[in-house]
Amino acid sequence: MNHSARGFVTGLRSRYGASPLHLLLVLASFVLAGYAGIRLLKGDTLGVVIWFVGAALLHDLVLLPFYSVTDRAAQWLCRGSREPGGGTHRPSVNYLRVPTFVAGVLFLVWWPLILRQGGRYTADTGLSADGFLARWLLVTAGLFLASALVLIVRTWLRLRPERKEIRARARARGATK
Amino acid sequence: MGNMKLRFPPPRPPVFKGGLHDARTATSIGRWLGPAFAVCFVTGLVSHFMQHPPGSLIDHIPSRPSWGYRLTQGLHVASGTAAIPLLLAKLWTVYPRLFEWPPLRSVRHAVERLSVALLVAGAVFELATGLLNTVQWYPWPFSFVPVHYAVAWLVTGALVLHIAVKAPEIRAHWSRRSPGTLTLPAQDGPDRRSLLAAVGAAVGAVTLTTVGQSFTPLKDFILFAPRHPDRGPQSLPVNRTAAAAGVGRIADEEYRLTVAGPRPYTLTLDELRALPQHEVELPIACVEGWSASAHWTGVRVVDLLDRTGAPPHARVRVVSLQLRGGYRVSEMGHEHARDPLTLLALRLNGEELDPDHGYPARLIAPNRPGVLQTKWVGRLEVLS
Repeated sequence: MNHSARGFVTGLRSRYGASPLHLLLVLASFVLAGYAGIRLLKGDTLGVVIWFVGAALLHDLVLLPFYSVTDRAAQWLCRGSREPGGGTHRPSVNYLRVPTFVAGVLFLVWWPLILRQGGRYTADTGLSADGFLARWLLVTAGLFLASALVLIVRTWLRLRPERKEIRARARARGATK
Repeated sequence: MGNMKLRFPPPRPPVFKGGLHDARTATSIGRWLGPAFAVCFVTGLVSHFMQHPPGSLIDHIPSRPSWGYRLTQGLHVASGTAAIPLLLAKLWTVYPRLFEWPPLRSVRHAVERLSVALLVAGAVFELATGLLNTVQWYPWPFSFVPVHYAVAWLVTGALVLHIAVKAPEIRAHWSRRSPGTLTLPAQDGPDRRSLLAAVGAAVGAVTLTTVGQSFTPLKDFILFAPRHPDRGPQSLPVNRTAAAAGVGRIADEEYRLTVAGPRPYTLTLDELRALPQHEVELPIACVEGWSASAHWTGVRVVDLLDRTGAPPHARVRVVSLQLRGGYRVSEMGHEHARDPLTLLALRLNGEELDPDHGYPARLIAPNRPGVLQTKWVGRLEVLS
């Protein structure tokens, strides 16, 4: 590499913040985006832009804050149930989080069917749109139930040594009487 | 118990104290999200070129394997659906970056953020529009196919750039023992594994309850898929009923099949039924992601073409009698037109076609998107 080429690379690094390869990749990506953009905006330009920007805004400013706040509330609830004494054995908020998250994702993915949006489903497919809501409610109930069962079993297993100790102490008391 | 009262913090920019908004979590999820997007993009390209082959490419679309489109489109919809929980988790992990301060540090930082903005908006847009398409709901003012296709390129370009820019960080956090991972607080490990397990469970749940619509061994687990491979007229799903297409039941005596070629001719339904009939087992595989195999009986298209004296490399245009809806006309290259499995089907699973399946005659060809398996066929045109 001769002096002026090295000077160009160093100059670019100091002013741009990365190597020329980085800049080339960025340019290639933006040119591709431009190509896609030309195809994209051929028809209803405003409609496409509204939906494109709207998708990100809806996710970042509505959906994500909504479930973050819900999660905070769940954490606060679980913290509130802490036992007064030790407080080391409070059930993890995850027993609430996991079934809610799975049920929530199922709802998010299939809400047009669950809430009968769109309206053309039956006309186009000849199938009934019934049953999606009932199935989702049943699946959600099943998820919470399964989580509760796991919590019960784990709590029971965790407390087994303590129970053994209590029984042993009771037996010992009985023997000394 | 004294610390149980609610305290409202004074308003200020959001501070993210929680763990897991870190590069290791982002990398762990990205390792799954990247392949999901890659599969979705490649299978989407396959579907696009099969439906809208540019120029003379139509003659190079292979008609085998007969289950090809069933596989690629099933993968397309399954990988896109599975990507939804992965994308949600990934965006949650990197959410604090949205509120970085100062928002722009250098030219490089500015272009990177612009690219990430394109990537996030494009990825959410693609998954949302693709998903609504699977339930055939089109609430937007634009045409779905060209926009979904164009944004796929935009997302892919931004994704390749994103991976290239983040390559050092990805490498540093690739595994549990990578150098970058080891610098993160060790107590986050179990939490991170719980998060990833929950995301895995959500991916499993959306996949298991829907993938049976194309992967029929799992059809008993279908709870939310828009289609069940066994449900529909004659136990086979349809995408457009005869009523929706505005054809209703076509009267036998009024039906004519016109074959426009070097020696044009017209057949009545009885004449069509009197021609040599062949039975094939072929899947009908829809762009919306469902597919099901069925037994079809009818006249080979190649026989109809030979009768009109069509040249061996001629393309064929198939015209429907439907009055409403898209895909009234489809075209086939010579590979499909000459394939012995390509039928003008008159019967489905041993019975006459239901009007919803295209009574009295429909096209069924191997390795072909469902929307191009034209129903209520009234005319075949040999294109030179």
